[in-house]
Amino acid sequence: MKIEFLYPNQCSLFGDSGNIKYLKQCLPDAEFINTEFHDVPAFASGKVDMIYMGASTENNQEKVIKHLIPYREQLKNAMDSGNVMLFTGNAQEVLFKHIENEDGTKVDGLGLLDFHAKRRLFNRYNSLILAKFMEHDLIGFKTQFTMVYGDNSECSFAKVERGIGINEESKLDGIHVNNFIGTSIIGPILVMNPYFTEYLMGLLGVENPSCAFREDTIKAYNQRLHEFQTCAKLH
Amino acid sequence: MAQKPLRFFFALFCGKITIKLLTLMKKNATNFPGSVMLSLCPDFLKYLEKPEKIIAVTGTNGKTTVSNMLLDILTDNGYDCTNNNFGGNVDTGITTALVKDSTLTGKARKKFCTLEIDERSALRIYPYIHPDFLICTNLTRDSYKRNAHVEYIFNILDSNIPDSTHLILNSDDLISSSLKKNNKRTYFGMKQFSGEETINNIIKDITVCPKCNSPLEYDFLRYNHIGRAKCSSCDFASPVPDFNTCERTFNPDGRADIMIKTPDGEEHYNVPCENIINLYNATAVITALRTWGLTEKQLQDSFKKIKVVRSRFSVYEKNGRVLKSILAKGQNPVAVSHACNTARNTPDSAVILIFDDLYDNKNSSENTAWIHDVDFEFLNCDNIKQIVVAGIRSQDYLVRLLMAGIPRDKIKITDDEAKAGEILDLDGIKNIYLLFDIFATNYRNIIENTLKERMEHEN
Repeated sequence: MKIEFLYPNQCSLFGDSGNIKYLKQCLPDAEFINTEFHDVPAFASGKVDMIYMGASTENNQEKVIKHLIPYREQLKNAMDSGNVMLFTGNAQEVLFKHIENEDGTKVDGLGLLDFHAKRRLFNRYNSLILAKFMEHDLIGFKTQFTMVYGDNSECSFAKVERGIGINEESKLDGIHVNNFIGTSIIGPILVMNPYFTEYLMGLLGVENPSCAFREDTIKAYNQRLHEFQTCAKLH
Repeated sequence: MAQKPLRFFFALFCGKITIKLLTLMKKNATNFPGSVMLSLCPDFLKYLEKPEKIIAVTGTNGKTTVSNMLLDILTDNGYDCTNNNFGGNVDTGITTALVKDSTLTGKARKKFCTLEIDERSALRIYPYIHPDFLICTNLTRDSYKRNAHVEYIFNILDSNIPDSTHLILNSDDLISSSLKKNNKRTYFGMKQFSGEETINNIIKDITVCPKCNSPLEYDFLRYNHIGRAKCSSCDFASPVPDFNTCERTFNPDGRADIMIKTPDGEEHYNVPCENIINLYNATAVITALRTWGLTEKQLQDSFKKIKVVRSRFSVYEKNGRVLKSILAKGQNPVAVSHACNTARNTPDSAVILIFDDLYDNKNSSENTAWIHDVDFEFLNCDNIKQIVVAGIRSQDYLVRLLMAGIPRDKIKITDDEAKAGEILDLDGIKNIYLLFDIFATNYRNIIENTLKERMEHEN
């Protein structure tokens, strides 16, 4: 099993590398490939089973787009053919049609998803999120400058119970197309959500998946879940 | 100076009254009087007259230490300075500090001023306050919620620091050393010391050349992205330091003897520093004050009188055991990683971690994504026999410590910070490190008291 971590040095801004560290402990036999700006992505030169990318600065986000443009078709094929892909934080935005700056200028994305993002650099949004993904409660945090616009009513990742979806008017978070999952939840989403991690492990072909440090991770998850359901403030 | 409007005088009067009342109530007048004045007159700082010479400090880590040293040394040399060392380093706290030392008409009573300035507040401060010198200690990852990311903070500083300000910059930081390229600047740095090992951290906020995206090559990497580097393809490289600490000897009394190569030749100082991070702070202070005009002798004499502030670092020894309390800013992965690195270097050690953010947890649930950027892997070593994590987030820390490879049987957790000193097993432990967040000072005192009592009575 091959898992590609796209731009670990540039796209791991909010503890996102914790996801890969955790996956390594959940899938000790898997091969993990780190891809940086000077590398040809592994998905472009052969099959990988999963692609992960985390949050980056706005500047690096634009560098990622430039670096991925030559590999756009291979990335599209990976999405279309059901590769497991998890893009967290603002990573999913590189796949959008464009990202709009506050002054109205636009940064073209890869155009693989019919969405766009708007940056608001002096209006940072911080919040927790409680949502439903399939039958599981999903918990996480958002800390972002952008809001996402587009119709995800048929392809959302999770239904939000507390917090916001792709933008402040939405209660549907993220994008779920085939086995691509994009969400603006940042950081160690896999560590915080053991059942979701086991779902992904199942997609990767693991039978009876059991995540690392299961008992303690589930205990932490249940404690958080209770707090998220009952706390007065979202941020 | 623009003509002062009536609202300025009204705000100033209210501010003075508020400061007086708080002082009478024996409360610290930090941010509140400033917030009153700024709410009544949002451009208050524009009209308030400033001291003639201002030296300011900004940067992610080390601001407070550097500000304290600056003020101590300047005061020791007869400079009576307005300062905000009592607390508030944002616009409200700085307004309070300036008004405390101003007349009823808004004139500065003191000629000199030292200010610690929060990086994010740059856009509300620098349009009105133009420091003659500004030290930027470093720029590294900080609270995600408050500071977003380093590039964001760099851009705020770069677009707001006045063109006239003489910058004192860290040549070993490839990010902050690039601030305000056209400003007058003096660089400080530290060469790689003999026997000094690289600390390979999880996070490095710059890994590729900002000019051409090629990988950076480090001559040496000290910690995180701090070190001396050059681009593998173009001419981008760390600047050459004007003041370069070239030798250091750490002494058992928590101080260090250092030799700095300066434009005037080699200079020797005995400084209150027990680690590399603090040596950067001392080097920054020496660079700034030598550039300001103080002599080597003046600095040498003043440094002798400065002690490490107890609230940030303390040591207690009893019956062969040592308890070290180290403050590290929570939600700041660089600061907490440093503290973990310090704790791994002595045998038979135990570590207590108190890093819950009381404010974020109040009626909500703290975003602990940052703990995945902390090098808890440093604690996975033979020297450390036991780790106690206390606080409501202790279960999250437990998972993170397990991910760092630390055996489950070395870790104890409790929701109650006050109990951390009780559940630590002292058997076989010679060194105890209490690593605590700035908001956990009360718990720090409780835990210290418990441990001191136990250290006195238990073998």
